[in-house]
Amino acid sequence: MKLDASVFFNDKQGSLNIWWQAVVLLSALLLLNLLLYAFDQRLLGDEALWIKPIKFEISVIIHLITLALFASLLSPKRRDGLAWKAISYVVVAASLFEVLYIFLQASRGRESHFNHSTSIESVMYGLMGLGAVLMVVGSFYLGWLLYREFKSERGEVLLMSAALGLVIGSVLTLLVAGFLSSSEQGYLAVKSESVMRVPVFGWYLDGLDLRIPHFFATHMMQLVPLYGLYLSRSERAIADSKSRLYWMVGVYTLLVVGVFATGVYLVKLK
Amino acid sequence: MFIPLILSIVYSFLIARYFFSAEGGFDTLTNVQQLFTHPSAALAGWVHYLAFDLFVGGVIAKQADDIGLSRLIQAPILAATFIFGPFGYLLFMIVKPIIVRFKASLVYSESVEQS
Repeated sequence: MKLDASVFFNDKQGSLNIWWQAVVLLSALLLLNLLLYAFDQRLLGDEALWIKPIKFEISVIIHLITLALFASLLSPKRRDGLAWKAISYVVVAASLFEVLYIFLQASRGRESHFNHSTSIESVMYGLMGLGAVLMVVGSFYLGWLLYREFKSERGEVLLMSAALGLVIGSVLTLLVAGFLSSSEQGYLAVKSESVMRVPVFGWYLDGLDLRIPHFFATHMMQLVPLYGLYLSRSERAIADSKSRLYWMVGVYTLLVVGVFATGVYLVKLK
Repeated sequence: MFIPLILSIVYSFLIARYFFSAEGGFDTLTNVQQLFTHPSAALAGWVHYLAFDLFVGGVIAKQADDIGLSRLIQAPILAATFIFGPFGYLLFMIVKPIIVRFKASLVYSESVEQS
């Protein structure tokens, strides 16, 4: 795949665009964070202190790269429009805020999410919620712009997959994360040694850990377009590719909603 | 660069006035700790941090503008420089060469040469 210069740069002479500049900064932070993880053995709750910022740095880096790639699919008129420019800055600011606060709290050895122990931390947790909503709104808006692009000019499968992934992924994320953050006890899983856990991710497999549907809802923004990319590069007819894409999106959405609904049901049952 | 200059004047006065009358010195960690137990010497130390962190921040901001690093990305680097001096400087020194390397004009001209 030949990547257009507009993925990386604002214009021919310019430096990296805001997405990649943020990616560079967060990668630098990730590098230092990995060193800290290697040398600082402190624990917070049930895992090493520095794991959480590492997870968020990686996740946000992937998210920002995704947005940079998809924004380049927009026509120059939309991409360089004031609306999308403004949204870019808001989304990047919100992303940096989230990660830097999680990093700061980790270094202090304190929780960032679900922390109401001091009034400042409580307010900051609220602001993190606001930041997360802004990030999701940005993704939704880009998805909507891509959908309009798909409708008005070009009927490409890749464009449609990006639009669907961003729009449905945003709505599902808002739904799952909204419910998740409204609970007082954190991510609700029974944090015990006897529950099986997923390596690397650290999820609990007792059906209650709502971080799992959160992950799959949010990363639908990458997975659906990857499938779209695969379809667009295969030899299939457009109509066939589209129906495969719609099936994939439908099944994926139902699975995420299913896992989420099961989790909510089990939580209410407790 | 005006504020670091003022702070440097304040520092110079404090250090000239109190360094030699206070206990301790710069030669060992114990002596540095001892020196900082003297309030005026500790104040001089604090002003020293402020002056140099702000100065380094000023230099970073100038360079960052020159290489086209967005103010939005500069903000956390400068905040880190102000509060934890070398940490912010280190972040900038990792970010800078990457931003300099990836310029549209550079990447574009290289791809022309290759083709």
